[in-house]
Amino acid sequence: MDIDSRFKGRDLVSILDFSRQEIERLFEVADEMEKFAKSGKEVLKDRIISTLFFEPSTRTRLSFETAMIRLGGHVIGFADPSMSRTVTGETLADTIRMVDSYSNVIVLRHKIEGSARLAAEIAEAPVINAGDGSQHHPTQTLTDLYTLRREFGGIDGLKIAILGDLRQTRSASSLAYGVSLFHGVKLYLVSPEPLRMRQEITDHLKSTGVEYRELTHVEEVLPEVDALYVTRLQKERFADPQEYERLRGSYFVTKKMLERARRGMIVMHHLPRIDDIPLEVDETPFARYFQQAAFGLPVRMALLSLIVQ
Amino acid sequence: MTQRTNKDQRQTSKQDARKTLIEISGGKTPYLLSILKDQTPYVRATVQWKDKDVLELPEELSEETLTKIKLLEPRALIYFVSEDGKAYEKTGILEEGKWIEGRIIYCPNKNCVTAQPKEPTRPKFKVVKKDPLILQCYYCGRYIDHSAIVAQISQL
Repeated sequence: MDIDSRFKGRDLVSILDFSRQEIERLFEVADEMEKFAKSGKEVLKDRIISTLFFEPSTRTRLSFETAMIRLGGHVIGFADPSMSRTVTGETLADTIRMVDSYSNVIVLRHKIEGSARLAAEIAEAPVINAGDGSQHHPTQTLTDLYTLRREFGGIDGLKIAILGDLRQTRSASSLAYGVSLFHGVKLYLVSPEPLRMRQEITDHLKSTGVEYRELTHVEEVLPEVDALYVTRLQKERFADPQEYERLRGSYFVTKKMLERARRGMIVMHHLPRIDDIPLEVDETPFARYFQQAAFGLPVRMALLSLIVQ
Repeated sequence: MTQRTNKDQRQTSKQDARKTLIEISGGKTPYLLSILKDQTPYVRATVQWKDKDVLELPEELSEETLTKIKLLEPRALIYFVSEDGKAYEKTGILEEGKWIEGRIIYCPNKNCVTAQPKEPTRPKFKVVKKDPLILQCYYCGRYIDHSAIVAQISQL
């Protein structure tokens, strides 16, 4: 079976559902898709994507919808669950069964962890996880890895610091899983103590041989790292609002701090940012988060074209 | 007619020889009896031996019950005694990498899809580590440590 055939009809719940070889093939297709990000390429004519967003989204939903339109397909779905029957108590399972009969691919974002896995069990159409709780966000990770590859020519051997709310940010845990598919990546997991990465993820890093170090202050690793990945404090996932207030502002990156960074280092962020990256960083040569977000479109075009075919 | 009676008696006699022996740490017997529930009246003997309790039951236990016993006490030793009196240790119930499926234990993460009462899920956990025991929920990926498992089993 050729590698493109392996994608057809596949679910993507976790970044670990794909092999390194498959991710690299997807990036080759994304390189091609960059040419068509504005003009379009009608390879999915008359196909329909369902975008079911039970949690807020700007970049992920809009880039999925744009990707499908650019590929010649159509979009149904909702960005606000209050406009769906879930407000009357309809289960996720029933919603998925119905949408499955309407569309060729389902993109789901939900605050409940494991919801994408359940949806993938129920639907015949491929299900793409657009984020579930604080666990997985595979298409963000594909975008992040693609950005690293574009910047550095590859991912093997990179030194990456992930800063912030590592306990609750799905983009952070998903990125940690993602780099484990590559060789020799060194991770610096930088966070206040209560926001450390969960044990199931650090255990995965250990079992796959990813070297990592946990620390509190980012300044000490700035001269070493190739990329600094900043995350947002996940206000919506704190059970105790006072705990959120206590931790708010406990980490950030400033233009002054970046004077210690090595030349060629890049600052990434899954966005939206709050007070973790001030506007002054935008004008530095390190800022890559807007370019990173822009790469979400060719990457999702590549993913849809391979999965839906 | 007589022959059939003799044959039935011989079968009954063999059946009586079959039993399950469970050796667990002393003091865990009340938890174990709470797992055995309906089978508790059939516990034939409870023997204290050094710092262990040994329970004898008149028949083979279901896979579900055996799994619960091992979740409660991963170091418990379970033996089946066959009709001819030979004892076999039942192994392989909790193996690292093995999946435990069914309504044996539940994910304590309230934000897990398995905790949503109307969603059609069936709990499923991977055995990450045997000693100390750590399970991982298939759906939400969260770890459940042994103390949480014991707390849950003792409440069931």
